[in-house]
Amino acid sequence: MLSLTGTAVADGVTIGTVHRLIQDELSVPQMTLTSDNALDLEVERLQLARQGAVEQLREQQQRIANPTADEVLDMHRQMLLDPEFLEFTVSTIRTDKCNAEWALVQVQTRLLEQLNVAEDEYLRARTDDIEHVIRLLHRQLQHDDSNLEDRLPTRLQDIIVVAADPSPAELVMIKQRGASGLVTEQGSAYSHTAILARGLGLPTVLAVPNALSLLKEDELLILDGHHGALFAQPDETMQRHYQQKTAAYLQHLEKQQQLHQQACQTLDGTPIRLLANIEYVGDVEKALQAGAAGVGLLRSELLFLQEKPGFMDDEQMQYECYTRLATALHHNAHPLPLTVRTLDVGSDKPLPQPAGNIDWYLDAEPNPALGLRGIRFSLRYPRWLKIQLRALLRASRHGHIRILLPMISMRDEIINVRRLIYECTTELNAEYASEVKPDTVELGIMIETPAAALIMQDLLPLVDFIAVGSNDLVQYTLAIDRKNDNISRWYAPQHPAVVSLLYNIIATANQLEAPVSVCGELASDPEYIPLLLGMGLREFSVHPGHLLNIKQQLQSLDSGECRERINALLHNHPRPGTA
Amino acid sequence: MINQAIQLTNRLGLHARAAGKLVNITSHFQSECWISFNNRRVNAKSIMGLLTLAAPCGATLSIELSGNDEQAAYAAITELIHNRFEESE
Repeated sequence: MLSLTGTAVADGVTIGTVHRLIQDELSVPQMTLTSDNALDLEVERLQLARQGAVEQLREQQQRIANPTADEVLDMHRQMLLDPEFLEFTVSTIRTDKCNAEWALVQVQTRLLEQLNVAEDEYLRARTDDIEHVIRLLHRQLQHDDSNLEDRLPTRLQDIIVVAADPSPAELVMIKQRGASGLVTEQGSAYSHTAILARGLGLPTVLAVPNALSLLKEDELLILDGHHGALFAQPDETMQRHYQQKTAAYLQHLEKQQQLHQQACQTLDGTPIRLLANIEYVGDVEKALQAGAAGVGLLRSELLFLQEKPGFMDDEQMQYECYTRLATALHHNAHPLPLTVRTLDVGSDKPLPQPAGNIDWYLDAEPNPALGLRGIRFSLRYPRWLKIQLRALLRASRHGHIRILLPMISMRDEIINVRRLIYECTTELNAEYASEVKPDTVELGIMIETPAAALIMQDLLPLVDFIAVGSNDLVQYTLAIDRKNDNISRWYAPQHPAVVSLLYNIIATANQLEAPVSVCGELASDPEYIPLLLGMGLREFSVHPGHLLNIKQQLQSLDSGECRERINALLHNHPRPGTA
Repeated sequence: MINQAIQLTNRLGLHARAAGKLVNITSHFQSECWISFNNRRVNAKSIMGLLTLAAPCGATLSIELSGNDEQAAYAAITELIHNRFEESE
């Protein structure tokens, strides 16, 4: 048995027989041409080759009909059609008085030089694209009778193809003919061959040195796409192991599927609500697919950054955007909550363009983390808050919209926003008759300052729900900036001060029957989840990608046991304040 | 003549497939189109040129257009960039 390793790029495990794809070395003739006529002819040959290659890519795109393939092949077509590339090659033919093939070699060298000096790894990987595209041209120029289309067996079922450096165009053909896997000698994880292998769901291991000489035609090969491992002529034990592994992988996929359908509850049957934190409009789809019971946090400043300029100033644009989100967030025609946090700028969060240069509004604060941020900024410049509130209130009839205020630390801030909401509703009712029902939009606050955490009993009567922003709460409680390398190692959410503060927040909210969720990173920290559960938390708001894992963990936790754990912890550190 | 700045907001910046989509648009217009970033100025109808910009997410590109259909071209370019090149994330 021979084992080899390479770069893992596309998941999946497969067993098949080897087919080596040996391409003849491209022979590139160098000719010196003297007559203008001959040079004109070379330019014409080049243009014909270009047309031929473009046509070839177009045909493949149509045949495979896959979105990733479409994008990648489109990009290669653009390279072939690149006017500067053509001009450069034509002028090389004329000035060097050479044939088209030789001109392409010169041009390729120049282009690769430009990209190879790039510091960016991604950019360096684009040299592959240039090589692949120019190779297409060479093959066209030589009317290559060893065209891959003819050399590749028409049926590749249960066959793992081994090739030097297949281009995306060739990869598409390999996939189309039914290959079960692919091994290459060259290529990087950033290459389009890798991206395409993933997009096409073809188990692939890239960059296996000398694969073509080490692997023998028709021998049995195991390809482990998860780990980038290859085993040629595997013994029976190995075969059995991998058959089991393949089965286990399929089982895992099936289990995820089942998990998806199960209700979210703990081992002892306590129901838990899992919500999603989203940043992009496109995240709604992901959240719903992962079974979220709604959106617990939409960071609107990120939305503002991505939308068109002027979004921040444009009520109608915002209204349409929130409406789109609220409409998408339905399950069996039942609206799911969409919690929109109002603009949270200041500190490390820039003000979206082109509302202006943040420096103008926040001119060089000596201590921005304790400065004009979140609700403080919004109340200082209420113009934008009002636009956002009006848009949200109007959109609220299309779904279940909840408004969430960041960086609250005192009652007056909430009262001022309530006044603004009242003002907006009165205006809107006059302007749009039936469009807004003022009392249906819930108002909530982020608990992210110790001040707010310690006066929960005063704040809760003013709001409909709370969301704990654990990242800021930990930073403000411990007075530690976790991005400061000098002290970040003491950024410890397990600190008794944080634990007892969180306990206080959750217990008080539960006591006063106010819905409470945690939406910071602690809510998806496997070590912290049992603690939060023990404190009585029943709503977690996390990135859509974490939802299924958290659901799985919660299914294995007993809420009573977690409560005892917390009580034991707090026994040593009496909790502060008001609860 | 149009000369405007625009910010990239898609996650990967002006990567190869995004550049491909941009060229798809610019090449449909008669107007000349140049894009500069980081002291490099390239023809926006040339994908190879755009790639050498290596403009990441958050980069502000300046776009120069001149020609009969410059307004329409500018509108189409900004729409593509604002729609984050129609990427799913």
